[in-house]
Amino acid sequence: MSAHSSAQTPARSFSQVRNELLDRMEGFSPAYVAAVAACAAVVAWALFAWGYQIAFGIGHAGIRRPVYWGFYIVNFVFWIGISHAGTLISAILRLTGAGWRKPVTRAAEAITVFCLMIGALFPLIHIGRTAYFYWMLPYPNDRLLWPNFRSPLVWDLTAIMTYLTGSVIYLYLPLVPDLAEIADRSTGRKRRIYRALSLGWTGSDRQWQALERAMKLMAAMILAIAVSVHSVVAYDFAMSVAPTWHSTIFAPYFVVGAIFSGIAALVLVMAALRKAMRLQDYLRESHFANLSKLLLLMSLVWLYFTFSEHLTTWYGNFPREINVLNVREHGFYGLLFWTMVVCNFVIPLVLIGISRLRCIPTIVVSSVAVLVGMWLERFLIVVPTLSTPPLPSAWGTYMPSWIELSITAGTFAAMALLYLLFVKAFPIIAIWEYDEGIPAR
Amino acid sequence: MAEQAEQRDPRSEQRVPQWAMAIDLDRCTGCEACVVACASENNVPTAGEEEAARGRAKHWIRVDRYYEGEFPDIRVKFRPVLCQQCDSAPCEPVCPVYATYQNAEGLNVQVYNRCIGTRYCAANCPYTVRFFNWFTPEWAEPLGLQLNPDVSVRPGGVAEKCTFCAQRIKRAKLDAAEEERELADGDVQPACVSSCPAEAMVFGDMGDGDSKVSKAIASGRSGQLLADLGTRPRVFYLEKAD
Amino acid sequence: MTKEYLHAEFGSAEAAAGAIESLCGAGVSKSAMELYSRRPVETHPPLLPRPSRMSLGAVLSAVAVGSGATGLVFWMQLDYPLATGGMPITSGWATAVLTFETTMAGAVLGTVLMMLWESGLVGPKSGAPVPRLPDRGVVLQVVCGDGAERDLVKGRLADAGAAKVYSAKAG
Repeated sequence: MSAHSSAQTPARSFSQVRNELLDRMEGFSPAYVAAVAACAAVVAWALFAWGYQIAFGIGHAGIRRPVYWGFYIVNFVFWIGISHAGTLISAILRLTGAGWRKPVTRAAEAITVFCLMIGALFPLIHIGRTAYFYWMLPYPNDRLLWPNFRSPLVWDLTAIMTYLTGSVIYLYLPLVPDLAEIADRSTGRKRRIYRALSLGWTGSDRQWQALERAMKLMAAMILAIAVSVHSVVAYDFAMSVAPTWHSTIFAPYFVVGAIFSGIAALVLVMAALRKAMRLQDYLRESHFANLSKLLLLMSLVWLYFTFSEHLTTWYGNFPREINVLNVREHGFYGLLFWTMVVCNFVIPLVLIGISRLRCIPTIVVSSVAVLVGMWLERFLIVVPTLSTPPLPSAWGTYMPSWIELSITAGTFAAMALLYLLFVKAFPIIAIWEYDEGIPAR
Repeated sequence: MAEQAEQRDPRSEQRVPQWAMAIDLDRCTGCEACVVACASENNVPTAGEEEAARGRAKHWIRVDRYYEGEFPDIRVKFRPVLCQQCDSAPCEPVCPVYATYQNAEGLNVQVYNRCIGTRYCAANCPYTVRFFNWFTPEWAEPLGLQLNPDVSVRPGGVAEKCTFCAQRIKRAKLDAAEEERELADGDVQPACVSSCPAEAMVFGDMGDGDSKVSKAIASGRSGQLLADLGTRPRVFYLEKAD
Repeated sequence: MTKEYLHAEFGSAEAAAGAIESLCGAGVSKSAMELYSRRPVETHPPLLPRPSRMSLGAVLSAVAVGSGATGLVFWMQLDYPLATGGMPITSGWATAVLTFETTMAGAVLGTVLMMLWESGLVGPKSGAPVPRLPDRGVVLQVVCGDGAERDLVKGRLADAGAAKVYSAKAG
């Protein structure tokens, strides 16, 4: 592995690293332009689908009684879950002083911000009167009343606003010295823009010390916020009286799933960056190996939670809960259920757990499997419960329409698009945190 | 059984009625006259064949059928299910905009204009009696001419449900005030109750011990739907103990 | 007496540390010095300790925002009391999540504001000229008076192994 060979070869100097990373931001290859165009087209189609739903009625989506929550809430939970990538990798590794995090953190923090932006959009897509979403905010209004602070949705709003604010700052602060570097190297309007964005960073020790102190505090806070955010997302379900939703372990279960899918997303993004931006020397095999071990650990923790949740339901044998369990584990949903188990547990266990099979391609395959599995997990939490309410006369089914499918596809494209734009505007690896272990060419 | 502290109107010092309904399942024939009466009283639009098949039909009251025995020795039991007007309603606290709350008369009121359509209430209702306007409602001509002027037509994107015919309660109160008398038992008859040919449904003030509904509740045959959830419904089902 | 800024380039943080020690011995205060670099100088303790109240600022801001928001929530619930689900109008349990989130929001904002203030990115500018930073090593900036004091500092900087010493006017 290249990490070991770096001991022999002389390390690359700071200026080499800086110039190399900044050069990667320059120029647009035909493949890049094609990728941006493709993503933008899918996003535009999704926006059209959303506009169609707003203009002609939300009934054009597939949600129906009794499955009042469908793909939109599944996607909401899924995307908010993935946003935990940045938090875990960056904050935990920063707090524990793990040196290998340095080339990984910014890629992870950017995932957090973009996923949150996408995830926070889903409640707006989901609600029947999108134009009035701001009625959830507390402000003096002509309806002469305040929002209902007992509603978990208001908790959600507060938590996501806090998390978004925190993670944007958490991404931005360590970006500031790099913005000053870009300004230093550029001229004209670009220089002025980056100069302004860098807030007049000069590199004085006062600034470095304040930055380091702030990042330590922020890492601790963002960790607590991230855990709370996905707990609150879980409370959306756990505060209800619906069978199998009203569960005390839902908050930690959701947090574990969130971190699990977040690591998978980070691996996927890193593999794409490594290939597309030729960052093999920065995002090394050792990084993937470390992340894959975290992924395997979270897979086992996830299995433990899933097992506990299902075993207690099955053994408890309460009719309403057993009905949900039967729907979830048999028939079409049963197919999805066992696919989920294979994706989230069997594939990572085999491909990562067996060390001879562990390499970047298998880690990437496991990550894709985990993302699929975790999406299915969210789906299997939301839909079977709603389709099996306590009174059997109200049981129903759910099938998404082209609108839900388009919007779901659009969010994946939006994620890719935001990332494509981000890597051209900002260095995706923190230059100032440059790792001494990068071998010279 | 729901216990309700006696409430008084702060202005008139009059006792605030506590609305409740009793449905005698031994009398119900499952004729669904209540379903039709409710739809026409409350301007509940029809969904159409295709949308109804997709689960978009709205029935503020429905008649659930339970089958006992093996064919051909089969016995069908009917249970009209409407909003249970729970005292501890799961739908209320989850609404972020107070579109549904508990009023002093024990009604689980729905304020259409406040609703932003999160459908959290509907997802959290164990009785699945909450409905959603998937589209702006339309009535084929000339059905639009028979809309009840006392009931608002709900726009697309908001939740709705049985109101215990809040408009009839209001009308009865106004009539009583005009005639300068107190509201008497039987003054308020929701559409389902007044249309029931078997007289299986009774509506009234359960805070008044002499009312028909109070007596029905106290008959010893009464129970609540999914009572173990602790939602404290205001709808009581009378049934012969087996 | 006019202020003058002396810039000295050092190839490494260790060399700059020697210069700082030597200047301190000559009676130059550490508050008159500033170290510039393209990458953080990671020595523990830092060569030039900067007292910080960032943690205190974060805590105070967290308490202020958290309790303020919680108080506002209680007031708003009492201002338009609507009963839902048989719950009390105000309750600690139903407000706990909001208290936590707003407290954390306060902590984040407090930290950022303190960071911007203590780093000098926001607030009154010292007017010190910004040295041109080498790719490697650090620049030590010393504020000193003119004449004899300047010559003394210059000498000490050169003795400590500065690659280049030059003076700059306030910007």
